[in-house]
Amino acid sequence: MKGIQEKFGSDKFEVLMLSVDAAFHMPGKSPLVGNRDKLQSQGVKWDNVLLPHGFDDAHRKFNLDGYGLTLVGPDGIVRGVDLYPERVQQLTAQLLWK
Amino acid sequence: MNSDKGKVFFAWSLAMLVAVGCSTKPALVETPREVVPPQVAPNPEPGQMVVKLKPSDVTRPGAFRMMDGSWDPPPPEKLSRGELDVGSEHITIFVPTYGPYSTQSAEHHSYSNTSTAISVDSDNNGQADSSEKWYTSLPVRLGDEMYEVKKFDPGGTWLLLEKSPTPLSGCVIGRKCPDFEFTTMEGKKVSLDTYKGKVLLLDVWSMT
Repeated sequence: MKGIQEKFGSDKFEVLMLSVDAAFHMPGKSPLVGNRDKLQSQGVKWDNVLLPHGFDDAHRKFNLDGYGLTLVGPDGIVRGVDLYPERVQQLTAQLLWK
Repeated sequence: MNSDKGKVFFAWSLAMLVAVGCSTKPALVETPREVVPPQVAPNPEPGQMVVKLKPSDVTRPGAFRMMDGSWDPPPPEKLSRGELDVGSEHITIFVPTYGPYSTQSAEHHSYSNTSTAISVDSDNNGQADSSEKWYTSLPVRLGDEMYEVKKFDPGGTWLLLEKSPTPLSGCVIGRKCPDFEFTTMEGKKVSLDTYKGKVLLLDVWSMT
């Protein structure tokens, strides 16, 4: 995803991460600390939201059933659901370079 | 010579593996599990509509439930077709041809939802694509309106829908993304408007 953002620019392509970790009990780190550490270690600086009820929130709000990538155009229209990264790049190019 | 025998054995083994692999393809469920006589459809009240269902050739992958404890692919589900009008739009839905039906889920989480799922053919391709599936324990997006499934005919010949006052939800390709408002881990408020004019990628993820 970082490569896609570098290609199109962060002024044109943004990522909103929706973490489902808050719904799982994990021994050791809290989901907040765990997410922060994980994103730092990957060098990821995108907005990250801890969904309080995990998959259930993603399901209720977006009708998304599991992990996956959903693309929304600059006009707020959904352009793809459950996408592979290659398809994200193709669709983004179509949306920005039309 | 031994090498030739090895090659023949390898080819035979490969053929057997392919044959076994093909034979484990899930079979279409053709036989009703239990024939339940249809009930008479109720007279819809204001804000409600009855959608008549007719058997179709369309199928979708059977519901895989983590709690079943099995990794075997479930057999495909046969679906019945229903047609309805919402606003100025004509919409096709698909409902499992055979019950039992339920609008309640025994489990809270979406990955183990036990309510009956219907499919809304949002792209009008005549198929029930995976992203078009909606569990009926929650409101279902039809066009740009939300509806609740109030009742299924146990015999599978109709369902009763009622307009829902809940805000628009569900990502549907070609349709407006539902509005959202979240607070990020860093305390920043974000909404759909925050990303207006940009391509936005929503990434559902976890550490594990």
